[in-house]
Amino acid sequence: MKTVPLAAVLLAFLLAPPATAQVQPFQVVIDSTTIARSGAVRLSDVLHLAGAGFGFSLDGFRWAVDPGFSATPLFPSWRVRVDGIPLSLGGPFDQHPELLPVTPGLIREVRITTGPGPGALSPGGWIDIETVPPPEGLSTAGLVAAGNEVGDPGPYRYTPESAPNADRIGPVFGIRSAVRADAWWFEGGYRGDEIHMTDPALESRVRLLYRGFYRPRLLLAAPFMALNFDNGASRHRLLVGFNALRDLRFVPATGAEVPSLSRQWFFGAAGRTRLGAGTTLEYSTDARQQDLLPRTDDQSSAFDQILSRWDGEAGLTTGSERASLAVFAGARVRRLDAGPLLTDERTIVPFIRVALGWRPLTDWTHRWTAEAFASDEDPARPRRVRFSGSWAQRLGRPGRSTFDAAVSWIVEMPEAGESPWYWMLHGWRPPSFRKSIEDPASPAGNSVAPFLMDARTGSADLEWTLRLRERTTISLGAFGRLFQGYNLPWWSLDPATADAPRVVSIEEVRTGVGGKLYGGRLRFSAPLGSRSTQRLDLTWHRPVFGSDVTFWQHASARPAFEAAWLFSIEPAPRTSVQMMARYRSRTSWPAVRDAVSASGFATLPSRADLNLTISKSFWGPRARVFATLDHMFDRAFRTHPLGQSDRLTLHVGITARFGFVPRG
Amino acid sequence: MRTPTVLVIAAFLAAAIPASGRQVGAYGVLDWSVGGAENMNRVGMHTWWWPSTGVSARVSTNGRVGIVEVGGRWVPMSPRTTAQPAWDALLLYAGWGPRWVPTNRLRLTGTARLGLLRMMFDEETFAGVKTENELSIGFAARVEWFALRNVGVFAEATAERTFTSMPIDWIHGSAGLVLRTRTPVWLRRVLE
Repeated sequence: MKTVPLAAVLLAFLLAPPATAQVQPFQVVIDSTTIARSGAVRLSDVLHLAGAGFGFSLDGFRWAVDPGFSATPLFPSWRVRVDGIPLSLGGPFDQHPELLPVTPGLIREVRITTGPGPGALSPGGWIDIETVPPPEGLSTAGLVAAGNEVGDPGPYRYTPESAPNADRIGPVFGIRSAVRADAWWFEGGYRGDEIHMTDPALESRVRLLYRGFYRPRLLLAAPFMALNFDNGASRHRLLVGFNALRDLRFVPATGAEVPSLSRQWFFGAAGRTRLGAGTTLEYSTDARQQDLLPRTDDQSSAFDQILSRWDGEAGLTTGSERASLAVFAGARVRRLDAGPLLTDERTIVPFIRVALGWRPLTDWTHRWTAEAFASDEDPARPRRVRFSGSWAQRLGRPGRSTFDAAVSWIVEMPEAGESPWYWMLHGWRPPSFRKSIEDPASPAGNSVAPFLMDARTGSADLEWTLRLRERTTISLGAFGRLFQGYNLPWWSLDPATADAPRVVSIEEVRTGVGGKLYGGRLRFSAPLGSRSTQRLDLTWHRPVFGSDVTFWQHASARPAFEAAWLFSIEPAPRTSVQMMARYRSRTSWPAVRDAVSASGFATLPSRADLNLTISKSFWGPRARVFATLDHMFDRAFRTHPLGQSDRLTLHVGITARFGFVPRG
Repeated sequence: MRTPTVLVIAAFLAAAIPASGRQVGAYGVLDWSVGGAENMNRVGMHTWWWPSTGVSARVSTNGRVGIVEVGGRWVPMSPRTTAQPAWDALLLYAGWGPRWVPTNRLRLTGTARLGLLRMMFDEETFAGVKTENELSIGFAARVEWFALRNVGVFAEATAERTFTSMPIDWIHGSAGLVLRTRTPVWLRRVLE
């Protein structure tokens, strides 16, 4: 059966003519108006506006959203571009949306693609974020917000009815200053955030790990600067940034909060320039170095490592309205230096990508993408080459009714991705693993499989969008996913913390896991009068019987049914009320059941939720004040059995933009 | 009353609009209120504290739909035993609601209010911290009667819930003076 993917690729090459048309199916677009009216203060708030793929969070800060139906919702595999620059910030070995140099108040548009493209193939889809370009002259824009969850003891603190304190959220703030002259602009910005771990589910656990004057918390400091050029024919952007996150970040690879100081330097660049009639040179690169160190006052924690990664590609696109060809070449480089466990281990994986497009009819477009990765990093499988491919077609055109179809087959090499399991195979251990190695008395069971397979993802998507009126559309979709060769972790309760404050550790990594799922979605959007909009998203999916038990148990952490209704009204000019109602069905968490319950089963019941934001612009469009009530039903809203439960929360904030154009 | 004070008050009144019932554009007038506030109800919290008479202040303006208001109310809470510290309850809120003007002199208003109750204790709650904030949601019913063109009196009843671990329900009565002024041009631009 190894020949099947290759045959499919070749067959598709033969059958599918080229295409230049930008086919963008299976995409949810969140515009700046929706974001502004939502009172979003963090990027995860923005991503939650997408509808499905709400995801989960342990600490209320790092949200593992999963709109593209990854193999496991616990490690979503989407990729992200900010103003065209692919960025991978988080780690170790995962994406962390809040570390991106993006402030919600400065986002022009977020496009969430649940299919494999466009551009490089991604099994979990792409999240494209476009920021608002600054105006001519000098300008400053920013956001500051803070929140407060209900449930503080208040005066009852001094009575027999005292209760634990539920602390504030934030303050969160972001600012960007820019100077622009025609096509050139330079910008510098800063984001800061505070996350207070006062929820009893977290505090009891992190109290074991945290020593300090203040209550357990996370602090984010993230400056960045960028140089841009855009004259229509050419567009270039250079980005340099840094982020520091301390003290108790949740690390999925360990299954727990780890006292650590994370420092990341990153550099990104992307651009395109027209070389001649119909020919464009495009490039993008993303480099980062993450130092994950022990807290300065706590040398006992296990993290002490430097992880570096570099992705880069460049290529040419040529063609016309009817046909196009794009050829890209690049490489992915990873390096990990983890002290005595793993010293300066490095992988280099080059690749090429060919994209073909064809528009045989005005309203019929095709796009075909093929990728080949080559690796000589695995001694057991020298000179390994893996192929991926996708085909997408659109019947119809944007603005009218469309029918989209896409299939893909994506093979990911462990040494070229973000997975920690490759490094574990070569000796790296997350803290809980290391402890078991250093302590011979630790129970057996912590193990790593001797061989990691390439993760393979097949996808098929169909979507029919019917435009009934100018602002009224209904979209019906169906999708299927096939996963093979995945490496999925299995958690258990750390025996050393069997008492009330529980810490989770990875028991083992199960390799070669496979599974299938299928599902459908319905999206409906229509105005309710001239001053209001609404959007309804319904998503349903189901793992296929016969999938591996490990896959099934991971997949069951994703709600089988999600519904989201977004309603927005402008009762008076520059005044808005936006509401989002959600429902997510019951979830099961057998992958962490041993860590949650002695009975060996962990479930979260189905849950409805309602958020409401009132906002008002002041001084024309310059400032906007908002107040958001999250979780208005005031029932504990928990998305992970070990995570915090959110109650009714008030956020207030202001976004502001000021500009100045020097005379002369 | 000293002459400078009289002049300041006279200048303030001169800035006020001619008639309280006259139609004006959105954000065209500001109503300033100040008065006393009394906690009228008794709940579990009053087992340990008793409230003193407080002060309320509010400014409102006519929006494009209904009125919008911001304000505050401060009420000192005295302990009944030595085991509890004294504290001050400072409610800061914003509200919106409809207004009915049956005559030029009489106005009736109902608003929904969203605010934070800032609890300021005499003792530290945590190291270096003596305050705590909690969400409060409530409603207010208010009657204003203008004896003069731009000066009147008000009476107000409010009901709020503060979402502490054991929610505190409050009912307050307030009464005081209202002064009506034009909105300064710069402020009107900001509000627009």
